[in-house]
Amino acid sequence: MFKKIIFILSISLLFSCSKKEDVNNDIDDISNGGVFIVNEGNFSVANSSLSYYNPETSIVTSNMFYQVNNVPLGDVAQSITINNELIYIVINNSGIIYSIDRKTLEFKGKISELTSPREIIFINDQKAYISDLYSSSITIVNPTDYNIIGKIELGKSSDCMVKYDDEVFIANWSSYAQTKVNNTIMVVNSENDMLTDSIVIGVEPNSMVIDVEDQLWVLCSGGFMNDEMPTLWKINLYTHEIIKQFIFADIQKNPDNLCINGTGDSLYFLNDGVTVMSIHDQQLPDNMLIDENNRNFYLLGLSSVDNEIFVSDALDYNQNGVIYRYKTNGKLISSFEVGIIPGCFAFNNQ
Amino acid sequence: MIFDTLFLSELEVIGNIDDFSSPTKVTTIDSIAQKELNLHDIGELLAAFSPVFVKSYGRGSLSTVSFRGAGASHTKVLWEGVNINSPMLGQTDFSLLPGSFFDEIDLQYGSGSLSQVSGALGGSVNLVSNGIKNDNQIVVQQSIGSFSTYLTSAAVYLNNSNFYSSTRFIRQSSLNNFTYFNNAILPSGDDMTQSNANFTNLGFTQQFLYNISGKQQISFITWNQWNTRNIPPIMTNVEKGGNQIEWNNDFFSRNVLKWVLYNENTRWEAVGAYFYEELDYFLETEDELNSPISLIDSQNKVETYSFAWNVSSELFENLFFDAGMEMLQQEVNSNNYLKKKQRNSLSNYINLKKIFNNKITVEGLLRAENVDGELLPLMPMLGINYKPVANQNFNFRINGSKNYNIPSLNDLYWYPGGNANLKPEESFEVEVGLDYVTMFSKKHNIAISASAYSSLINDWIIWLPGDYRYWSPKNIAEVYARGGELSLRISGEFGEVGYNIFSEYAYTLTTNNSDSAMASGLSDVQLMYVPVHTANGYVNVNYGGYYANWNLSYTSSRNTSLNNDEDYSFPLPQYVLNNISLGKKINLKKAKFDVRFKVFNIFDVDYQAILWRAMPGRNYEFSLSFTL
Repeated sequence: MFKKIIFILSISLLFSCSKKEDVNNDIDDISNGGVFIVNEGNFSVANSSLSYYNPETSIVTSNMFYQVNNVPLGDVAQSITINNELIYIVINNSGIIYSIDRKTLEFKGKISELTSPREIIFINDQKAYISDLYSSSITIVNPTDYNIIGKIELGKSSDCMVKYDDEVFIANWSSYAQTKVNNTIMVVNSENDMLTDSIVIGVEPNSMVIDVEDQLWVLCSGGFMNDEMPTLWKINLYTHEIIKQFIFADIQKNPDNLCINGTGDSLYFLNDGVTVMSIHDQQLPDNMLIDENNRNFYLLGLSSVDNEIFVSDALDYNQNGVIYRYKTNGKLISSFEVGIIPGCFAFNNQ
Repeated sequence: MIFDTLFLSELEVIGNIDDFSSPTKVTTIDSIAQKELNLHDIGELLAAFSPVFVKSYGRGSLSTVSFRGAGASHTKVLWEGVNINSPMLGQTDFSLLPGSFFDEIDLQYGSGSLSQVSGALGGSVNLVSNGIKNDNQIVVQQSIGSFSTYLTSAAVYLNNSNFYSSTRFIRQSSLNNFTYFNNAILPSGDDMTQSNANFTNLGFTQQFLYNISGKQQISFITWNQWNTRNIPPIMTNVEKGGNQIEWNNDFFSRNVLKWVLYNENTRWEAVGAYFYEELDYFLETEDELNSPISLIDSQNKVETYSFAWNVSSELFENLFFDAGMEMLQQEVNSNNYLKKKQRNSLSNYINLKKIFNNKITVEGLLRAENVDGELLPLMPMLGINYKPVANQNFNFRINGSKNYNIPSLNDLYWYPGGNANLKPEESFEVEVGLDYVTMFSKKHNIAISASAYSSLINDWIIWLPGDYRYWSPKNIAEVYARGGELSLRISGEFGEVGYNIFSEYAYTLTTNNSDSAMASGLSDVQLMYVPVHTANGYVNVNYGGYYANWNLSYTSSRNTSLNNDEDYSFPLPQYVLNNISLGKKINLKKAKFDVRFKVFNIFDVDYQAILWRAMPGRNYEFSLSFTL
């Protein structure tokens, strides 16, 4: 018992240096410059939720979707995308995508009958692509009426997507829905919705960004059963040629969450702790910017306004997670509590 | 209770207390209550008539039972004295235990079952199928209920003084397509029909018993059952694409051969058992062309061989001795394990009980268990029962025990994630209680029972998502469970009118006091899905063959996440369910008929036992029973 008291004291001292922030349940506070946090919740439990953090007032608002709409967000909220005045939230295991008003969060529409949707990316006002873990094709929808208008057969499972000019790069993260190895980036022409190319990289590409020099960066974890070394790839966006491959030293590690800063010249990712490197570096950095310590870093995001670093700690995946907010130099600004498994950020900048 | 068979004739069963001299708490489900739900499963029966907590995913779906704030795998189920918990899961699905197969259901709270099984950190449920009828008898029952639910049950009992046979059969099927209000998907406000929730159970038991002599008996019983059920989507997932197919099929065959010899003050018993189980879980998602994309086809076969013997004797006057040994081998062949896995265990126990001056009973038990060559720490239990007034059934009891629950084979070997380095879960429990039974005006029986307990479970195994996508179990929680139970039973008659009133209440506080829970400020939060209050009441009135029953059960709110903060999570609200039944017993010469009409959830309460799992509103059942 004595040991426990000492332990609690030391923990409370540890946290007293950082500011604990207030919790609020008012939705009036959705201002510019804040961040939406989608909390995945637990698979088949349907305890996903939506939180919002306003850095100016330091107010956290939780469980907002339920408060406004009186309906739970669903089973495993996977991703959030802001498109003009609407917010789209992809609910993976519910097979639906909700669109809600960006200011009031009121229900606007729904795309349903999806198999295992992961992300939505907007091509134009009339067209959006939806990637899907359990389907071998991309679903094409019309965002104005939420109708499914077509499919793009890839022959592979799809996950994260980035758009560059009239090409969409689609990561083949999982080996569901295919017999082949999950080690490609598929390229789709968004004018004619045709699969045009496939770039072979490492196993399990989990995140992608485009830098200021028009290069595509892809981070591969090497497989969840540690099939191969984790890798980072630099790819020419025009020729689809690989410029450089970086190989991580430890096969046990599963680096993910590749992000890029506002100026497009520094890469950030999670490899236990937060790691940062320049797009011109010739090798992977040895040092962490932010050590994980005894936390369970799950999600990384960069606010595009002042490049603040947001990292989520999913703790034991069964209790409310914590978001840590750091300055670009790795100095802790504050931390705040959100829902279970904070899994996606959307920075609310106009 | 150890001496039940030997001293059965000496025992007077009043109320629901079996053995007044026992220092541990044992209750028996009353036969009237049992009859009320004998066309349902044991999970439904316990939810309505006992203070244990039943976590049910809906009728026909998985149903688990927990005692005193412990987990479902800390409830051991014994059938004919042999543990039937799945070696893979460590728990028992109570929806697969048909009420009509059992003659007696005993609940043993805490570690009082240490003579039979280890690991019952919460308690154990004893199912007895061995009900010998005095005459040849045929029983046929048929019920028809809402949502196309049909149950046929039949039994034939033959008794030829030295040879006895009982045969029981059930077939149950339901579309289970009830309508519910779905407030879990937008746009909300629609009534929906539950889909993919149909189930079928088909089973039989056959028992033969032969009296070799007046003092020697041999018996064989087999229980075989085929269960098929589809698994419905949760309320948020009803619009999911991909034509998802999800089902669970299982088959089991449980066979027990038993030899008993009575010899003066001594009873010898040898029991051999062979269990075979097949469990298949299937989940498939299809694409637009109906070809499968993702597939889980989990096929598991489990074989259990056990041999046990025990001897019980009155060594000297009022000194009782009981000892036994069990050898157990479990073998799992699963496509979720890397290879075939086996577990061998050898357990021994010794129990001594001394009664002083017919007032004080002292009982001590020691259990030793060796699992796969490793000796678990000893499991002791010590208890005292005190009866202060000679001619009054007024007893105090106190007991303390230490118990271990070994990890399930899935905990150890599931691929990926299984953790072969898990330690057994360890519990320390103390319990005090009192039982009082009295009669007034020679026509009314009152039984009151109260218990309080406190238990600490260390190294509680919890599956947590690991660093990468698959879950893995760890000895993580330190659970402190404490609480109490109250029970009141009154039965009697006013002239021609007979009545029974039963009520039970349980108060359960259960928290995780591990260092990590304390550090995150969660050590005061009630564990998920354990209600602080549960209560039930039952009133039965009968007159001239007519009878009316009313049953009420209350479950207080439950946390569905580790954080109980309403700003973040969805605590499930409390609910009260009311069921009534009306019936008439008719005797035509030797034939007896019983016609019964039941209404479940009469107030059409919209509730969830588990988050976003739909439950049926008001529903009906009509049954006819015929006995010759």
